[in-house]
Amino acid sequence: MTGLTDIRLIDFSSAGLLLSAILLVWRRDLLAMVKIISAQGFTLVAIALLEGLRSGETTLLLVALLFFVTRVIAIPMALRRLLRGSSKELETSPLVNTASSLVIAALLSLLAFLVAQPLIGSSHSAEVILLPFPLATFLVALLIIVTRSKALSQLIGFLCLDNALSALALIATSGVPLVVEVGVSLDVLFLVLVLVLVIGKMQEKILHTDLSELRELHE
Amino acid sequence: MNGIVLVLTIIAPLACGLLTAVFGWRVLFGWMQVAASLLTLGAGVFFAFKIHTTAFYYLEGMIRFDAVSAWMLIVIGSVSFLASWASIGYLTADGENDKLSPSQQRTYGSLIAVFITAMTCVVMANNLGIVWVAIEATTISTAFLVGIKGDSKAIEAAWKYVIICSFGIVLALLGILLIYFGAVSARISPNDALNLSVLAHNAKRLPVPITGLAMAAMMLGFGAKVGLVPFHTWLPDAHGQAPAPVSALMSGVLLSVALSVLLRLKPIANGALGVDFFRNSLLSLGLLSIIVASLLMVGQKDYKRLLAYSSIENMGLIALGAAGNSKLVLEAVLLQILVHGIGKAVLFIGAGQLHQLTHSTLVSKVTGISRRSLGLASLIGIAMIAIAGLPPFAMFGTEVTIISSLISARLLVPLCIAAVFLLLAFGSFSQIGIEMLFGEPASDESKWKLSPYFIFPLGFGVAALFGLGFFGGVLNLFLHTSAALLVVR
Repeated sequence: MTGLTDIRLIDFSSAGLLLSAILLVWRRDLLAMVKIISAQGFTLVAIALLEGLRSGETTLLLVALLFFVTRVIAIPMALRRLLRGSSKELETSPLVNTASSLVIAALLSLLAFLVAQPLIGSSHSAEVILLPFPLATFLVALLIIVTRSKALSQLIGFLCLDNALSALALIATSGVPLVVEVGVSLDVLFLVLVLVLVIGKMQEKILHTDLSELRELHE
Repeated sequence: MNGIVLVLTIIAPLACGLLTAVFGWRVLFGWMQVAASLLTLGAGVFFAFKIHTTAFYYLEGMIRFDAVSAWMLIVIGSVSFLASWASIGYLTADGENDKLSPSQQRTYGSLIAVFITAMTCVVMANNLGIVWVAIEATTISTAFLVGIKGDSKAIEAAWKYVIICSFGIVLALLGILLIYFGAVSARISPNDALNLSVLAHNAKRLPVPITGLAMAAMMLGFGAKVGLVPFHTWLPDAHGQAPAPVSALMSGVLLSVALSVLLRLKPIANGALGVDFFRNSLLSLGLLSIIVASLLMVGQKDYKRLLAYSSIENMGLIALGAAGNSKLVLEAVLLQILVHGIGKAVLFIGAGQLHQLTHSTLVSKVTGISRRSLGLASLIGIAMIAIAGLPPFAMFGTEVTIISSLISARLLVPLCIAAVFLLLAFGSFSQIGIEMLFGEPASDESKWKLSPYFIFPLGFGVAALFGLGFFGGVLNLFLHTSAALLVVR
């Protein structure tokens, strides 16, 4: 495979990362959102794999495997199990309607491309030009966390945030040391499990997961 | 020898946690946890005598142990000693509302061990990646501890805690990645690009715009865990809902362990960006925290939340001190971390005893403590005086030092703002304290029967507060060496 096609494939996967984030903004159906986040995990695996093949570093292949196990299999499975318990709560109640949030997502992506310019200038590696994609995904994920009020949607937004950061690590630095990458991935896995358990308890005790109605603790 | 002691401080609490996880919680394991905390404290003291200006490095520089780590180990050891002792009291409580099921006890016993170990790892780590993982491990382990009661309030608090802290920690991760990117592009070897001491040594070579962005992200992100505004909102909920010994650990050590990470970032920020960036950021975060916390302390109805806001206020003040760069003010910062840790631990453990007796965290339900138990009232009263920063306790000296460092740096506007709001906080803290201690009893005046598992740690804590107030001078030499490490030339 020539270097050029390789870069194009990574390019393609990074675009997929951002695209899936925007799909998350668009969709309200929680089950569909879980599918999208799983697909996004797959784009992350692709980036790690391609980056590993290109640079010849075997640790990146291990990272790809790790991402596959956590982001594509384990986490979506936990999310799906959670949804099975509450079939009546499929729709989310967003604070901002779909059209406006898509416009905001577009503006945020534009902002990411502007912010990334000085960073791109300061490095010599070829794939650094892809930096705007994970940055834009990061901002769009923030948008999801801020505008959604269902616990599960916020959790998915958080996962999207994390995927964006992992992609940023792969693209900007060709992967941080393996021990860090493994630690981060395991931590994310644990965190999601914690949140899944908390949501499960919420469904059991409070009988809903709408965070805007969690108002017992305040000043 | 040194390596063995360090490994022991990590293994000992973990072993207690493992035993609890396998066999379920027993009073014996609770006492083993107390012993493990004493071991941590002992290790801190051991190194305090040994370490002067050098640091020990292990695992290819990923672990660093210097005087500051030894100091933080003392803080972790002494607060967890008090908190693990009180944990036995919490877990053996036999009131109907307080009784935890055996599986809840198991979760509690094993997670508190993980929590303490993770904090020990943070203060020893010399690699930003490991620091991050260890800080995140504290979030994961305490999430269940905050929500352990399992009622709707506890679950709400746990959710807010995890989401806000994770959000902060993701921001910190962004900062870590950016600094890695900056370090690699400044031709620092990728293996060393997250190594704190290497980064500090080569700080002048780091590219400015990226390092600035990275520092801002890390200060906000780790600041969330310190309880600094704007990501402080988890703190009152989590502290209010968590079992009292857990609140004691979170308020007494977790916040300052996170702050010690900021102190480790300072040489990197100052080297790459000049003195102003770090100083001004910490000054504004600290001031904002003091303002917000003291406003919310006014007329606070819940005493555990009052203590939580007081922690935010104290962390704000410590941040103001940490912004300074003189040896004297950094000594004050380190000493205040210890005194605040012990004082807050005493107050939270006292709050736990009050909650067990009255089943309420409302100030109005717990007035007139002195009529019902003079002993408990005096212990809580003394700790309140110590935390309020009055003599003869050490916080009087440290607060005066931090405030006067603002004068000598000619930062008069921050000084005035801080002074006004600190006075406000002092006013509401003492007003509520007096009402709780000496007001009219809310119900009857019958005497309380106190649990020895609460009273003994309270007594030890108060004795330590007096000791630090009167004989704190013995720590001077060690404080000098620790603070000297934090001064950036």
